[in-house]
Amino acid sequence: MNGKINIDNLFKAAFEDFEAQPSSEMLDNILGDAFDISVQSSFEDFSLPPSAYIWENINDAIPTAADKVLSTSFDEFTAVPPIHLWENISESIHSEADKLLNNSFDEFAVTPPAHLWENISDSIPSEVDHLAVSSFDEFAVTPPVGMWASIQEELNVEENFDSKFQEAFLAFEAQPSEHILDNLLNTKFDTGVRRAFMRHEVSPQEAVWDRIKPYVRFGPSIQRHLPTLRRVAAVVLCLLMFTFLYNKLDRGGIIDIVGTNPDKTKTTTKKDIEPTIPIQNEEEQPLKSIFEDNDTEGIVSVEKQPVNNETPEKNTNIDQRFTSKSPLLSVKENNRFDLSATSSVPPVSTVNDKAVLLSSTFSTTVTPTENERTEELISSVSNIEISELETYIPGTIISQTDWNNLELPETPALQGFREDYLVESNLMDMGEDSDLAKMMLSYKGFYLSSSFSSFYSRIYNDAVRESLSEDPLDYLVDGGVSFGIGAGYQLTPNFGIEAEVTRTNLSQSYRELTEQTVFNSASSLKTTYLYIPLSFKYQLSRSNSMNRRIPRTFSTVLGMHYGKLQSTQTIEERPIPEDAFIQQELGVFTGLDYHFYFSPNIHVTLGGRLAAGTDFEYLSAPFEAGTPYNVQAGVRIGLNYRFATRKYKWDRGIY
Amino acid sequence: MAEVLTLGFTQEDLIKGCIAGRRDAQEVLYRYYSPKMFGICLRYANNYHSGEDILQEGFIKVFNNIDKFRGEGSFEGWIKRIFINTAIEHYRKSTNHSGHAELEKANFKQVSEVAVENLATQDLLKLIQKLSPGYRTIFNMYVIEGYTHKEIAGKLDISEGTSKSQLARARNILQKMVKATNG
Repeated sequence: MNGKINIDNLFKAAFEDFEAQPSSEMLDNILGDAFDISVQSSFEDFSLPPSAYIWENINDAIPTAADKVLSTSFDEFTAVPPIHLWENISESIHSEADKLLNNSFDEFAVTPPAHLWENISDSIPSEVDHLAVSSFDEFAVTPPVGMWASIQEELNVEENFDSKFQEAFLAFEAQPSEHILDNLLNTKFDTGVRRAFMRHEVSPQEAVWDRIKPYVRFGPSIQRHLPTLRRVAAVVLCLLMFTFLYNKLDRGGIIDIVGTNPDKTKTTTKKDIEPTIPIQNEEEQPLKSIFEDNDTEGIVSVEKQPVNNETPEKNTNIDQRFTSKSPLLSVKENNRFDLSATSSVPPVSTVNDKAVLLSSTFSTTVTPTENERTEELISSVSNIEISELETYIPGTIISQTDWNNLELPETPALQGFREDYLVESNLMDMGEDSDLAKMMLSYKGFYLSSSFSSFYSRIYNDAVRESLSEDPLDYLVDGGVSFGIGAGYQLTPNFGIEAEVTRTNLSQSYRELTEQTVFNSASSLKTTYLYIPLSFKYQLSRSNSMNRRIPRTFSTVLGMHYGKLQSTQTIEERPIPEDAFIQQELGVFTGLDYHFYFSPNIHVTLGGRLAAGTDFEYLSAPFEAGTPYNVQAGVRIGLNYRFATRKYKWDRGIY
Repeated sequence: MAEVLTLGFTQEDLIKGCIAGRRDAQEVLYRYYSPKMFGICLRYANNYHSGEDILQEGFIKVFNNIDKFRGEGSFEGWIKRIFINTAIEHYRKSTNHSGHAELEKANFKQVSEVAVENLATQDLLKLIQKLSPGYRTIFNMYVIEGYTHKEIAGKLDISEGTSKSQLARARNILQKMVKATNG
């Protein structure tokens, strides 16, 4: 500060005498400097402590000792990079192999096929082409002389060429070809007809519905198969009727002769007898009764007495020798048959060598008071065992009598006798053949059987049908065959059981019902089952042809079967999974058998069977919709062998 | 919601009822569809009674096969196809194709749809019924049902060419009759 003041003084002294007029600019500078200096000097000793945060900031920026240690600790730090990093890098770096590969193609050259060049060369103009083209460069042909003249003439005549064309076609008409018009008109015609029938409805007469109703009584599943069911039912019914009638007619013949048919022989009752009973001639010799001596061997003389017009005229007596342990008939010496005043037994006569028990004679020889006793005696006849009767009636004598035409009076007492008689008579009138009949009707024991069946089959199975076609299918008639062997046991003369093992082929054909293939598409498939049927047979107790050398008889059959699927054969282009078929089947069957007995050992069976079965899985609800069924209806022929031993035959008088 | 056809029955009810063999469902179905189907039958038949026969046969088929309808497509279309097939079967039973030869090729001017429209449907039906069975069947199948010649050939077991020629002749004859009717 003092220095500055001295300078000022010095300047003052130096320039004390100096006088110069300074420029105004200089003065400004001087004044300006002076200002600056004064400002500088004013801040010379100025100081101000900085804010605390400034030091903090500075301090943060200065590396600490820890920082230094940390930085030095990483001086030697190295880390191995992961392998895939190198793989990634190496992939992007050209390897030696790449380079080699690149180099190997440096000299690579392939000769293109010859035709390539030919193709190319064809498209490149050749020298000849060039020559040809260039040869026409200067080519010019002078048109004929008259051409230009004619054009010029036309142009001169018609100034507007286009308008000439327009005018030329102004009145042009062309007739389209006939078929185009036809098509157009036909289309319109068709449209008209189609439109006319678009909403065409006509109510049918009421009678049509009445005619439809009988054909749609049941649901479609039943209704569709009704014709088949009807046919089966008709066949079964016919067989049953035939059996019944055959039986009835055969018996009826006897019964009528006996007196149940009023047209042939009036039924004799106590009431009827009374008015017509003549008084027995007391002068006649008393009858010798066989009842007096049970072991009496006597002669039964039978005499017909004309009581009514229906009595045969021929008066022929027959002798019937027999012994009886029971009181049965009395014999009169004058060949009159009577009951020796204590008994009443139907007298017998013969007409045309046929034995006839004459009810009229019988009636005339009893008095009303005796009639009751007579019935008592006759009732005792019914208690006689037929076997006993047979024992005491020699077959030779019996065979001479037409027992089928034997007339018996219709009395309650004789009713039981007649029933037994009818059965046994079938054996008795056979002569030689009765032996076989006896055998047939009395056999008990084992037998073997073999059979062949042919039948109409149906495989009702929605799963199979759906696998076969997406379209609705209708069943067609198809068949199958079956072979089997079996064994049976005749428990009683009537009742027997039989088990078989059969191999059965079932087939089924279908027809597609869709719009496209309603007429002409049929498909079929085949299956093979192993069946084990167990049947219960009831044989009629009498032969249908006892007077023939080959006795025959009916038996009814009822049973159940188990079946197991063996194989399937389906249509090649429409494969069906095997599990769609019934795998294990349980079913029932029924039928009729007709037996022909050629010998005591061998008999042939013709029969019919109706069988149906379903899968085990469906047994809990076998009648629900969608349940699969295998159905068979057909005929069978069987060959059977009975173990009728020599002793068996001997015991029964069969030699 | 299913369409109620009549008497509170929906189509589904009717089908189920018919499958169960219920007479009331069968009758409702018959009453509902018989006028439409009888119209079809009459077109294929040569007279009223033959039409009734086809109708009866067709409905018996419908009722006996109704459980085969799977609900795919129109039920009415399904019924209609059965009736057409029944009519075709009827035609096949009643005649052979030699009947076609009885008609010579007609040569006359075409008639347009206007002429057809001038005729009442019943009149037109009578004219169609006058056609021989073969012509009538092919005409109905092609013109009204919309079958192709290929389909017709397949159904009637004839060639496509035969179908085309028979149709042309049938159409010509029918046009001639229409023209004559219109005066």
